[in-house]
Amino acid sequence: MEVVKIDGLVKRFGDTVALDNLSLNVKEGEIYGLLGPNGAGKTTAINIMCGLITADRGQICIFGKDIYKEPDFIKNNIGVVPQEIAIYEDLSAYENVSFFASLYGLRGKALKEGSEMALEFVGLDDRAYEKPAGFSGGMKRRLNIACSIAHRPKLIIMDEPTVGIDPQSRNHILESVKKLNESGSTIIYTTHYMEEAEAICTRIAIMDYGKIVAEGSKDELERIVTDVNSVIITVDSMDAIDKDKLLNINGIRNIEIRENTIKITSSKEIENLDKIITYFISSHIPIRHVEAQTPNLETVFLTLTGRKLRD
Amino acid sequence: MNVFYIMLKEIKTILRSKSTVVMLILLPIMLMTILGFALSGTFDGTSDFGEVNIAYCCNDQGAMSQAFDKFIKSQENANIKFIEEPNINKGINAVKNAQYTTFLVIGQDNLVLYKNSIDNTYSQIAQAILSAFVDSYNTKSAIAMNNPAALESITSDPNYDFVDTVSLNKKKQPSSIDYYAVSMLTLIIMYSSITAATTISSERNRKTGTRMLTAPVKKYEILLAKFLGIIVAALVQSLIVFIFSKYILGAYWGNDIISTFAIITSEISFASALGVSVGFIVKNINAAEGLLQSFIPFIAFLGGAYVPLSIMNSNAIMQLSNISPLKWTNNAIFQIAFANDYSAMPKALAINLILAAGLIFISAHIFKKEAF
Repeated sequence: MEVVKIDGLVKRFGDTVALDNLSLNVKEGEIYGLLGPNGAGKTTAINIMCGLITADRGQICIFGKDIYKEPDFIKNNIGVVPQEIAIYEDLSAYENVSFFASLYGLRGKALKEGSEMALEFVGLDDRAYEKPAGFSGGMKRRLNIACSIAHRPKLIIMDEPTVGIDPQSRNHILESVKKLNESGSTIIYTTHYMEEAEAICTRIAIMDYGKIVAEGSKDELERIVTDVNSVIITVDSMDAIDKDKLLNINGIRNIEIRENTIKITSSKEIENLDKIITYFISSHIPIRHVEAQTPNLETVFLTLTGRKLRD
Repeated sequence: MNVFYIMLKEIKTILRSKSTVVMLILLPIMLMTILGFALSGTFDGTSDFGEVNIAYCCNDQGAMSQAFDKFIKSQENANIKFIEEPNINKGINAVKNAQYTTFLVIGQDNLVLYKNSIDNTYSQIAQAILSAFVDSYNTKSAIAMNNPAALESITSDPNYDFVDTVSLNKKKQPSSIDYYAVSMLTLIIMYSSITAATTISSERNRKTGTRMLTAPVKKYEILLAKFLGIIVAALVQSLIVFIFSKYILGAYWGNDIISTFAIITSEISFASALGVSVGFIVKNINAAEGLLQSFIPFIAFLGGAYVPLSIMNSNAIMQLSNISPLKWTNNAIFQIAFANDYSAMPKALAINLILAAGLIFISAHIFKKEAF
């Protein structure tokens, strides 16, 4: 079932086209990664999904309902984790969570239980009655998430929830995202950190200039940009290497020799690293270092957009 | 219910803010205490003067001179020194040299008074004293002509008072404490507009406003809740200041506290609406604060918050003061408390509430078009 269905979305700010015929689908149970450099249109797309701004053209259905026709139903079932830490410093962690949860209609016991569950989920239950002014950046980020999940939304939209925090807090948040997904929430996750998308996203869309330039699983995206793997082997001397014998190994397409390193390029679908290593051992050529080069999402992104993700 | 929860959050955040407590509770208490005591002489209507010197010369030993001798004796306990000066020219020169406040020449049936115009206050006091004598003398003369028997009983009582004074309202004039209790409270209420502007700006800066809008909440609910929250918080603060002024400083607020608080609430509504609208119009919080910090002292001055405008004796300022809502608010409160006069109340309520409604309308219009 498609939780989010966006079709031909267009949004302009003056002469700038923020969304250029954007179309995407998010299926139930997915962690859908939305990657793109600054200005790609990710936040604009999210703001339209949340009902903060309206599109100039196009259609968005969430849970099968048009967002302009049934905004309250959709908002009730969405949790939005904004990019900025949007909390009240004068209220305690519990009061923050409880206040935002109350806006989703939670009252009485349900409000209390939902707030406690959210704080426990992000590991702040022992600091519930402290004001966030004394929290670290990571703790504030976790509270930022807690404020969005107390009403147990079916769809959680996270806009770069790990910006500027320590690795420990980041790991905690990534684990939380996985747990939320396992508990039944569909998640849309935007990030600048490629390794985060690789670690948690079941499907990834790469956005640039207001549209999706590629979409699929990590492997599918990697296959878009290359069908070869490379291995670079460092040895003491190249004298004993027989280039023809190496080229006879199944799958090897090309060999480049530079001083004491040799770069061997093979077809991606053929596993031949063991045969290459065996050749060096049987030829009595001592190997000093082996480096396997496989395309990652950063390579994919660079290839598709011409710029690095954090540009 | 969304309105209730947002309002509750607003009240909590305002009342927990240390700067707000200092600004809206401690500052007015401090100001009304200091100004109330420091300027007490300006308001209580009494001043201590030194001795008043009145020189006199009796040209004739007739009835008027005899009456004046009796009058001098009756003033023995007053702070007036009567000095006999037989030489008229000498007496006149002494007045010119400010040696005497006045010089009085008593004739057979008339009095001639010479006074020093440089020392005008003392001259006026002396003139008032002598007028009292002349009035008394004329009255007795008239009684002697028409009813000589009655004159006997009057002259036999040295404390006989010719005028009965009946006090209609014991607390007719506000003391300095009374004045500054009212004017400082209404002044500080205007400063709650800065708190209101800050709540709008901080929702914008902290992005909590945007976060609220991602929830199933209507914009009008947010605006209404914020407006009501600010009003309730300001009312709580006003109540604390009111209780302090009434029970600790002993300020007089009159007997109709409900009407007084109705006027105060209308002023709070105006101040809150002003702050909310400035918060929406001016996106930069420092600029918004600066604007209000400049505007409030101006309307406060015209409202008589610092000193009563009447002491300036300027018709232009009195006319200009009509543009200050604070003037109408203060007038209404003072008139109810000190004259039991409600005529200014409808005008004060109308000015505050119409301005509040207009400003909220502007805020709603801006909020409708953009998200914080």
